[in-house]
This record gives sequence, structure tokens and C-alpha cells, in this order.
Amino acid sequence: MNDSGLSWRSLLSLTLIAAICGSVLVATNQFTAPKIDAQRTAQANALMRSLLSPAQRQEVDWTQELDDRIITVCSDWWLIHVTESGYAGPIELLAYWQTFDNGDASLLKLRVLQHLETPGIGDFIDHRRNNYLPARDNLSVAEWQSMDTVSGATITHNALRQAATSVAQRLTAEAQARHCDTRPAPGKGVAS
Amino acid sequence: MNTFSRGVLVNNPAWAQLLGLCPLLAVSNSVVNALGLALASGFVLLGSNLMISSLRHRIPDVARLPCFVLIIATFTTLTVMMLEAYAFDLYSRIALFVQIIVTNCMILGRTEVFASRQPVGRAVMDAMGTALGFAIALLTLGAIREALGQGTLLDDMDLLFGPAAASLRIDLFSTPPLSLALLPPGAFLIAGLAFAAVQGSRNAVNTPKDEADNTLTTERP
Repeated sequence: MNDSGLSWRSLLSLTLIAAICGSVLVATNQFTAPKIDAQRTAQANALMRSLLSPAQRQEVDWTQELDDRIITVCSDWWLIHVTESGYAGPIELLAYWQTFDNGDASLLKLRVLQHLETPGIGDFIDHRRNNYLPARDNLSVAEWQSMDTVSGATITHNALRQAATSVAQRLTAEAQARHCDTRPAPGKGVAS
Repeated sequence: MNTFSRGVLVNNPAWAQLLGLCPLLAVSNSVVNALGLALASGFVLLGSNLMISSLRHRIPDVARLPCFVLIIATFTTLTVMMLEAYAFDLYSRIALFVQIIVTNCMILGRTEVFASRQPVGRAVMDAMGTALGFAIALLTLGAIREALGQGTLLDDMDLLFGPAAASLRIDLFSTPPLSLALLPPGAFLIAGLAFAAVQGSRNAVNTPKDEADNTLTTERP
């Protein structure tokens, strides 16, 4: 190895520094991970309840998870956790989907659980900072799919439209099947 | 002038060196956000200076910058984990700006210029002084912007200090006198006025000898 390169002693020093940093991170992760999971679950549950009407909230104790990311009460409303690709990383969303037997178009409400979009440009999707998503609570999936994108945040907005599409694709079949004819026993908790 | 007070006053990272302006302008729309970022930046700066100074004889010169970034990234990640675990609501507000502390040139600058060349005691004093200077800049801007843009002071302090701190809120104006202060243009305007005020006062009190004393310490001991 020439003079400008790393000697074995230097490589050992680098390995030592990397090991120290890695160990500290692993230890801290072990210590904080349960608390972070609990915080995220509480946030998701609070958000989920905010999407439901008072009557629906009373039904929450009877909710049933059809798979790891769909929650229903075996009636006409569904909650689904979807992840789409945004500009700066994955966008985790919670979607409320309601169907109507009278032939009206299904309603979709979207809320963002976590995102990494650019502050001031792409973070309009965060309902804690901007009223963009709550103002579109009464739109159907078809309206979501035909909506103009947001200039300057095309990728971010496309993620919302993609979320609407994937929610419709996944839940239309579930809603038609209605395969939860009987309510599960009370006491089943609400998953995030 | 000693290492600590130099970082607070003469070499204030924000007002004198104009470093760390991205988070300074972005997060300083309220006192609680500014304080959260100030504490996070201070922790990362203190931990990085301490570790780099302790390991300065072991860090290979040709690979020192990757080592510094690795150590700063480690402390930044620790801060992110702790904030998300224990101050989740505040973390939700300032998450991105805490994560980009790793690229804050103020911290990398102090580790390269000072901590990697000085003993642990002086590196810690430099970190404390610089962190306090950055915190003063953040809190000053945060207080002015919150007062003008929101009409309050110390709003939402419960996000950082628990429910009891909610009573610290002070209502200054029933109608905010300058809502623009909360927006990015307001941040630039107020920060520009603050820079001018600080620079004007420095020019007024500094003598040529002071100017010579104020140069950054870059020599190896």
C-alpha cells in the first residue's frame, strides 16, 4: 500500500470506530424501539378513530383484521394501511373506504401516517400542517384518479393518486365478497 | 477570550459565520421548535466533538472526513431515536431537520477545525460555546417570529416538557401583527435584519486587536 493509502493500522482504527458507532446504535435501538413502536401505534389508532363517525367508533372494539393491513367491522366501511413511493421515500397512508348499497360511488379518505417529503413543497399531504387531504374527504376514487396533479410536487401527488387506485383495487373485491358475515368476539384490539 | 465565550459571541455559528442557516430559517417559526432543534444540535455537537477529540490520534488523516461524518451520523441517529421515543409530537414537527443535522456544516466545521486538533477539555468547551451560540440564534429568531406571526410566546412547550409546561404560553397579541413572519420570506427578512444588527454592533465595538484575536484557532497544539 502506498503512502497516500490506508495502512493496516489505519484500517484497524477505522474498524474500531465503526464498531463503536454501530454498537452504540444497536444498543440505543434496543432501548428505544418498543417505545417508538408504541408511539406509532398510538398515533395510528388516534388517526384511525379521527376518520370514523361516533357510531363507527363504538364498533371499533368489534373490528376484524382480514389480513395484516385491512381492518373492517363487516359492514360498509373499511380501513386500510397502504405504502406508496414518494419523492424522498415511502409514504405511509391510512385510507378509509366506504361503500354504498344504493349505487353511489364509494368514498375515500386519505391520511398520511409518515412521510419524508420536502418541507414547504411536498408536505402539503401532512394533515397536521395542511388542510389539503381533509378538504378532499368527500371525493370518490374516480375523482381522485382524474384530479390534476400539484405543480412542483408531482411525484408526491402521484403517490396519493396511486394510493387511491390501490385502495380501490384491493377493497373492491373485499367489499363484494363480504366474507365476514358474523362479528368476531368482542375484545379484539385495534391494530395499527 | 476563552474557547467557550468565543463560540457564543465572536464566532457565533449563525450570526458571525452564517453556518447552519437551512435549519435555522426552517425551524425557527416557534420557540418550542427552535429549542428542540437547538437541544438536538447541541447534543450532536457535544457528542461528536468529545468522541472525535478522544479518538483524534487514532483517526487516519486521509480518512478523517468519512470518520467525522460517521461519528456525527451516529449521534444524529441517536438523537432521532430518543426524540421519536420520548417527544414524538415534537419529532413529528421537526423530524426532517433533525435528520439533516448530519450535514450541518457548523458541526462538521467544528470537528474538522477544532475537535480533531485539540484536547478533550477544549473540544468540549468549544462544543458547548458553539451549541449555546447556535441556540441563542435559534431562540432569538424563534421568539421574534412566534411573537409577530402567531401573537404568542412559548406556545406548545408541553411538546417538550410535558403537560405542565402548557401553562407557560404567553399571549402577546389577540391578532398577530405580521403573519408573514411565520412564512419562509419572513424568516429571511428577520434573519437578515438580525445579521445586520449583529454585524453593526461587532463593527462598532471591535478594535483591530480584537479582529486579530477573533480568528479561528486552526493551528495544531
